[in-house]
Amino acid sequence: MASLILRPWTHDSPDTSSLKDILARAQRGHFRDITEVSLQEEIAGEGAFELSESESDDEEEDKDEEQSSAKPSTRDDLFKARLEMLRHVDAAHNDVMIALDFVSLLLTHDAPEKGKASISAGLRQEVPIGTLGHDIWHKMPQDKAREAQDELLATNVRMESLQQSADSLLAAATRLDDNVRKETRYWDHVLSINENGWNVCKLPGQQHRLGVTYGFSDSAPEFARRGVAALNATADGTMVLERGVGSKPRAVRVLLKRGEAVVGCSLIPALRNEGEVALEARIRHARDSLFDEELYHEMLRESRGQASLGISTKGDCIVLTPNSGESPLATEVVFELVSLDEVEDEAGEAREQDPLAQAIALAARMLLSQAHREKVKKRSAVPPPMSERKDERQSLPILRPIMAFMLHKAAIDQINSYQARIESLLSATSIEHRTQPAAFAFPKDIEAGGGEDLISMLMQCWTSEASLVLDDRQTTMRLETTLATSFGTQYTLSSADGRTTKFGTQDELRAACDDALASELALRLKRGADGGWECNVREALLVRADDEQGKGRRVWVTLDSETGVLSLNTPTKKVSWGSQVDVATSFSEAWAGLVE
Amino acid sequence: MHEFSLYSQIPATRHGQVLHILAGVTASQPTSTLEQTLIYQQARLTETGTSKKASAGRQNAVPASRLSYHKLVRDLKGSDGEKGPWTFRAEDVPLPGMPNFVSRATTAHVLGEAELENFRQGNGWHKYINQYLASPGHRFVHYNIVVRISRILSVPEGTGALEPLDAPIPVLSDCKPIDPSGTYHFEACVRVEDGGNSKIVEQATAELMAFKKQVEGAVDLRVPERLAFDTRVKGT
Repeated sequence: MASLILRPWTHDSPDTSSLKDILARAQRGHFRDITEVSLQEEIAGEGAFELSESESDDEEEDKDEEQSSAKPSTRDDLFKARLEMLRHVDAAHNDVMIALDFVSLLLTHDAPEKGKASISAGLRQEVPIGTLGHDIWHKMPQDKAREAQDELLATNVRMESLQQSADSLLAAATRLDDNVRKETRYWDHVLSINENGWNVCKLPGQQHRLGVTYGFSDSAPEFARRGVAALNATADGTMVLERGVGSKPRAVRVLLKRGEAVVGCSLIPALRNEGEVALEARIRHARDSLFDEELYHEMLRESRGQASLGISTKGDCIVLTPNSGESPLATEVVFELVSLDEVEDEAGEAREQDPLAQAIALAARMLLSQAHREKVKKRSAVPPPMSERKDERQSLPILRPIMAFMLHKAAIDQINSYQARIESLLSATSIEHRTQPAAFAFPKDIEAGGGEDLISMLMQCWTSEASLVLDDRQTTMRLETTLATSFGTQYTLSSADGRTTKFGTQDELRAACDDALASELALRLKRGADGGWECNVREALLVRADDEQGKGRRVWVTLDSETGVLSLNTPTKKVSWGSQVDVATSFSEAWAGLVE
Repeated sequence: MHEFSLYSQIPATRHGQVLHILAGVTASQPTSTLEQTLIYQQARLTETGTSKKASAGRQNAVPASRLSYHKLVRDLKGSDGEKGPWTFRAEDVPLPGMPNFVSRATTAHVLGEAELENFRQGNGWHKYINQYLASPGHRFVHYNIVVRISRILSVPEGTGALEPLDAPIPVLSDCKPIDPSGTYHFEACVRVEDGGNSKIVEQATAELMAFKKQVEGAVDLRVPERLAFDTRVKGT
């Protein structure tokens, strides 16, 4: 390419006017196709024309100036055209300079001096010299086959990549579909759990995970912590509780044993209720299991402090033996924590005291709930000022009310059996009597408003009365059991003549009652007999003073419930009724016989 | 004993919301209270053993040198619906230099009949100044912190004419709130048996600050100006 250097026309002063000014004066329109040769031709052939053109331009300009008012638009157009041309020329100049730089750079590789002379300063700074080389390539012949192959390759590659994108899009779509389905199932599960009453909450430590609370916030800390389980979604969208929670459910079972034989057993909760999803069954198992475990734990804690009451542990079981000294065949209550999966189905046969065992189990659970309620109330009360004293956690009263109940029941059973023996003796002797056995006394109008009322009824002092009436004279035995003041049952005997005495053990009561009844029988004899007899009530002794024949008579009555013998004695003779002796005579006949 | 407390104000519109928040934090329901407080000015210093300052050792060196104002407080919504017993309360000026909470020594004990006599008119020991009611009031207990939210009502004119200990309770509809906008007064306080036991004091203050952080955003607890709690009688 020829270097384009325009020199100013002759009539201008040779001061360094910028290219712009020169071009402004050139006024040639496009000069893209201008080459040196064509310019020279023009100069040669039409030099005059050029001059005349410029002249005519000047003339035109003069004419324009003279006729400025007539054609102002032309002049403006002219200026606009000039400006536009200037702009184009500028751009062209720029392109040319860039081309120059390119060529110079190329040249520096082969002819460094020439190149360096023409390279511009800017490019020189950017790019080191001699870094652009050139080769001459001959134009390759057109290879149709190769071109066709290239076409084919290109098409195939394009198709392949398109297919790949299509595949990945499809895969993304299926995965999205899958995710959506899993999410829907997850949220369906969560909603169903929530609607069934379980509390779904956010887990404190982990984000994006929900959990179910089934514990009780007022339990001991180690149990309250276990009351939350996270809900995890497995690969196929089903929901599962974490860590196998609820998989090994346990429950407390109450057994009533007499000696070695089981006479009563409480119910075990069913493994799965009707219409319950497996997940909810697990949560329910978890909650019940946690409650029963806490119940067992609290009972164990209580039993350690209450060994004096007859509560002991044998292996894994807590054993309540009311009145252990009384009789080896007394019913004992055994609490054990069994695993629901492994328990043998002992509930198959109904035993005689199953309802009692079930009632005891229920009572224990209600007592634990009551203890929770008490804890909340205590927490809401204004606390005393902080000090160094640390309060030990009191053991919850679960076994104690149950123990009180069992003691009272045992006492009632024993009193009633004693009364039955007396009754059999009296009927053997055909003495008229009336008895009223002891039974649990409940308040007249039982209005249990809720669990709390039931518990308060359970915690109160148990009292019962048994009475025996002989000829309108009543002997009453009263039993009171409460573990608040003293251990065991308090017995009160009110005899017919108005004396009341208190006893601590039942043996004493029985002995005293025997004596009282003997006295009653003696009194009865005295009333029935003719005069002359004197009765020593305390000794149940009837004495007749020596009469004219010198025969004094002493008769006394003895009643022994231990051996089950009622006898009428004189110093010489003795008539007895009882289990070993089978006597057909009645009391009055025997009396008549003795008196003779 | 020693008390550490923080205070705040709850606008009437947010009262329900704050009660809900606190019920969640403490996991229990509020106990509603109606407290009547009588303010008495101590007319004479007691020189004998019935000292009204904190017990255990330190008051023997510093006898009560200034007369101060004392309060008699009772809860009118007791557990049986009856009026509770009168409780005497004496508060000291808060200790200076505590930017995080108000720390002051207080005495509080339930008064028997004989001691109540000191507060009746005519005895020279105390002079009745004023009284106020805190109703509706709610109380929450969070471990060792007692939170009280109430609206202070001033009693109508002329209530002090009768013997305030025996007078009937002022009718609630006649009492106007001290703050006409109906804002509630929020107080959180921890009590410590012995202010000298630094271990317990640290525990108590740590608990109080943790509680403040816990309810931050819902209730902003702050420390009011120390001298606003001054109970000394001026001019003696």
